[in-house]
Amino acid sequence: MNSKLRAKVKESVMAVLPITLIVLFISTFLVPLNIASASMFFFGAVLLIVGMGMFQLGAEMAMSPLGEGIGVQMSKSRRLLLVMLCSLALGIIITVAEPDLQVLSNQVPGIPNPVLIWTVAIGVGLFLAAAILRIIRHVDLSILLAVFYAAVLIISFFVPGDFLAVAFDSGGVTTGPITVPFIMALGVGLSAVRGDKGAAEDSFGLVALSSIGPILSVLILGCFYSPKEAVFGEQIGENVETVKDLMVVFTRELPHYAGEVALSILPIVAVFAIFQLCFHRYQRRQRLRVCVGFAYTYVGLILFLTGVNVGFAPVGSLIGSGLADSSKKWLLIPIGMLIGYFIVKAEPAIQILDHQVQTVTDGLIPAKSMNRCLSIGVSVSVGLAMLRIITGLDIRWIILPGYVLALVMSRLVPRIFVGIAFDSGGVASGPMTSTFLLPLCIGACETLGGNVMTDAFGAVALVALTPLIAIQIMGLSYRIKLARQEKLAPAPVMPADIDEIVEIEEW
Amino acid sequence: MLSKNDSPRILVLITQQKFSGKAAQMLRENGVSLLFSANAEGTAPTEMLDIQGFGNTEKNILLAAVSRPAAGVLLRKLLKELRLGTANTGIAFTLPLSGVSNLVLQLTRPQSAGGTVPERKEDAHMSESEYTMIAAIVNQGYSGEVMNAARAVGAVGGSVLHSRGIGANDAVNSWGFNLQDEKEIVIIVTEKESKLAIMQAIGENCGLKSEAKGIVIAIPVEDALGLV
Repeated sequence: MNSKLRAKVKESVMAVLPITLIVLFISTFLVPLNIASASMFFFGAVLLIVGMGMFQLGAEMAMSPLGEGIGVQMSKSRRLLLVMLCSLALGIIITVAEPDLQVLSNQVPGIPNPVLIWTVAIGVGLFLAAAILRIIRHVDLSILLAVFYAAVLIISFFVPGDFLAVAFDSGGVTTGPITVPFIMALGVGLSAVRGDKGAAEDSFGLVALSSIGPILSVLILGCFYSPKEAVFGEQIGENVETVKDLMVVFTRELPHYAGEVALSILPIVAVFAIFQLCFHRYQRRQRLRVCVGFAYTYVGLILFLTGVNVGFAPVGSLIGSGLADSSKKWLLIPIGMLIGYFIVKAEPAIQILDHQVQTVTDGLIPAKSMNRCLSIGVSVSVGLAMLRIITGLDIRWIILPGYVLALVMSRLVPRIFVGIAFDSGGVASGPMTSTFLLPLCIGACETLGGNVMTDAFGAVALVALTPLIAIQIMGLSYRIKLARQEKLAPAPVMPADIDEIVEIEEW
Repeated sequence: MLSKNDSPRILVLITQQKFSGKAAQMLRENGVSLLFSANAEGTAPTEMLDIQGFGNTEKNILLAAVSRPAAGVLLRKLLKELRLGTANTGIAFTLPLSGVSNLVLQLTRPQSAGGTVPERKEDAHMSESEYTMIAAIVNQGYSGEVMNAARAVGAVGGSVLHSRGIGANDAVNSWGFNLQDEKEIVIIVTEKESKLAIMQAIGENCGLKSEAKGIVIAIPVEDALGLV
């Protein structure tokens, strides 16, 4: 088998298998699932593996070259206003189309869908433009993050509690599988033609700022609209008895996601066409490659979303309510943490982030460490989310100190870690979180009779928060290690002739 | 003036990332202290595979400064431990130097690398001076064209390094960034007999007159292994 293909298959199997095994374990010992839901889950897992592999490959072939190309041209341009307008437009285009945003708009109560979608999209556009302006004007990322998050935290006091969790969720949710690879690559492209020292650091931080946009815009909307009862997709138990029923369920949903994903990819294909017509960056072979890449991304995302929505979401909800129903409801916390640890690996955009971090830092931060850090971070956040469901703790008590801690740390860790950490917050909360983790929390919350709006929502916000801290801890320990090494091994005394040039007989 | 025989060599290892870590570990254990690594991309075997996305592979280039006797020993060790020469492993070769900082000389003294190895033995897998390293520096996006041209006249494979070109005048844009054009460096290690043909083919198809704006050079390779 082709070695690249083998590597991709292995990668996606390793991403989806752990969470599948955990569900198998839970459904065997803790929450007995009926065979219909279980078979749907496992079939969904198969779709996830195939879809994940295709999506990764497609993003690498299409999204990355396109994002990089646009970034390079922006860096070369001398017209600031044009660059700002382009980034605003790009931010709006990619966000309006993001499938996760459609889901979110249905969940947020009391705001008409188009109003919400456009406000969030303009929020992303403005913040993307601000992120690029920051790079151009050489402003420290941690200062901007501090200013914007301070604004977010202040406004959060004027927003009804029901609304707060959803607003924070929207920040994590809108930076989904389409947006992330593109914005990440844009960052790489922006610094690709720069020869200065800060170039590598500046490749990160775009996703970070872009995910503040939606939080802020939903919060501001929350001041004007009054929340009503939440509407979230009811999980109806499918009547699956035969293999044929199973296939029918999946094929019935497939066209729906095919349309949704087409809507989100077409604008980016259009951006590619316009960009190529203006700048002729891609040669014949690259153009074909990008087109094939878009096709992979398309098919991969359809399979992924169908698998996760049809196979995973109902099981998430069942496990949540099943665990909460048992006498051992405290089990929710350790089980949730276990699920959290492995669920990040199955987020489609995570591997793209890991990989990019490894490449840009030339192996200084290996993909493995990133993965472990994110796993620990998300594990903690799911634990906290479950704690909130059981105790009804106000989300402010976690979010406020969490962000304050993250912002304080951002002044202490090496700069490149700041960008990576805040980017990973947006990346960690993708479709897997909103379709498996959120139903899990909603299921648990409904069974315990809590307020779904305040207790179950907010899980995504926590998933977006803890990686900031986890990765900055990695940065801090890296810095401490470096300092200790310098202390232990003082610079060796160099002989005076160390820089002399020794000539060698010519060849 | 140092004689050719006593001068240090640069040991180059182009391989997959998982082997590269192992090799670096091995080199370090053998006393190599000047060790550098860079990311690279293996070129696709066919255009079709490239378009389908299964062509390019991630590679890593390791550069190590070693003494001449150590170079032979380390090459043989690499061959044994990484099984270079079997499919999908990589290649290793040594390049001669024509001048170094004194530091390099100090750090590559024979006793500090590979222990005492007075005599170099000929190895079946290792052949002296049969190979040469061709490097083509082209504009971003043209490494595929370079490989197309080179393959047509006998090149087997190559690696691509992404880099930036620095012109005579540094372009600084209005925002205070040093702008440098993206360049791709294609490295092909090949038999000496096909050197000229490959260089000519690259020159004709991707030379300065073409859009690729390529420059081609060849560097002598002392020992090479891992080439099938």
